[in-house]
Amino acid sequence: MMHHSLLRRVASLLALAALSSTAPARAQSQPAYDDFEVTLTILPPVASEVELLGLNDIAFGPVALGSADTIVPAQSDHFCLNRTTPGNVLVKFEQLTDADSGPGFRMAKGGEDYLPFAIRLTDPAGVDWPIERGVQFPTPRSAEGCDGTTAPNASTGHQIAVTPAPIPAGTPDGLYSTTIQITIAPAG
Amino acid sequence: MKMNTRFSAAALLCACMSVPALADTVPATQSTGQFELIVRVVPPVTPAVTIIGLDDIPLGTFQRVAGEALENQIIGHDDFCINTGWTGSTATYPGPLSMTVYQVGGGVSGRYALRGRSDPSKSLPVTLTIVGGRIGAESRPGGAITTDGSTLQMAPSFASCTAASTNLTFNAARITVTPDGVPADSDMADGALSAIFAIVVSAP
Repeated sequence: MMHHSLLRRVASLLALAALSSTAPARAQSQPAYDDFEVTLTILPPVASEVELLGLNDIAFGPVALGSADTIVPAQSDHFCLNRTTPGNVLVKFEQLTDADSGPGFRMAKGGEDYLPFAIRLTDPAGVDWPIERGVQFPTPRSAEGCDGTTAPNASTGHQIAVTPAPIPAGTPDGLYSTTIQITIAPAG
Repeated sequence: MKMNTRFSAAALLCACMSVPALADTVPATQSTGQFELIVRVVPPVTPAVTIIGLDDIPLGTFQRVAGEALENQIIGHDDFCINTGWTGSTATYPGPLSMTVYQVGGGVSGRYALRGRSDPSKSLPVTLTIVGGRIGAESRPGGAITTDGSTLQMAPSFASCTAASTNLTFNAARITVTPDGVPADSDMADGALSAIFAIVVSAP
């Protein structure tokens, strides 16, 4: 660039001028000179944004009740808690239906019959987080590259495991359900 | 007295070269001899110094994060040769050499500094360290920190040093640029920064 060429010429002249001002009077070898430019760009912080990707419905399938408590295997799902900047993500699980049911989660049938369940969250580092309804907590963001598709999320994303409480014998049959909403925000 | 001694003005400059002397071969009460002095006067030889392979140093682009300082992440270097010789000779001048690094336009508060290309209020002090090719008291592991206009004593690179040589080979010199950190939430250095440095190497 012409601008830089001019600056470099000035640099050379300055260098020579400085040298000649200190050189002794006797004959001396011609000094060698060259120049180089150092460049650096620093960008101001960008706003921290978060995105939840890859969350799916969880279906337990038909459960046939036995004569005693029936154990229902846990179901899990992988998803991404992405953040555009380094730092943790604040997470809150809320149950949109059945608002007055207390701190625990539960599925309902017709507003009279319920099946409690627990949710655990595992972050990409393998740390387990028990979830309380409506309680916000920080967790590391998902690893870079977590894009919400199924396969890679096991290593880069978060995992939730939903475990229904054992279903007592005599529990009314029917369809039990609820909706859980996850809200995330940058932690700092 | 028989005396026939031939001197020339040039011969007076140096009596270090001679040819076989002629002498009387017959014994006598007096004897004389003669010899010739020859010297070739050539222009004074001076060390010749050349800088080879000095390149620009792009430090890259860094994204600041709110609430976090930017430090210990940015560093750059370049290797270059300081080759020497003698005028009219293929011999290598052994040194020592004096090297001075100037910042064009001067630094900030007595230090080298990158300046905002479009915003003169932006600046970031940098440290320049010279590694390798040094001699004397300033030679120490990790390199010598240079300041604007100060002089370092340097040893020449090996004669085979080329632009492709590194600090680990051929005794090439390495200049390392390390910017100061940027405190958290400081915009003192936001944007495109640059500085031009001139290196002058001379033989005493």
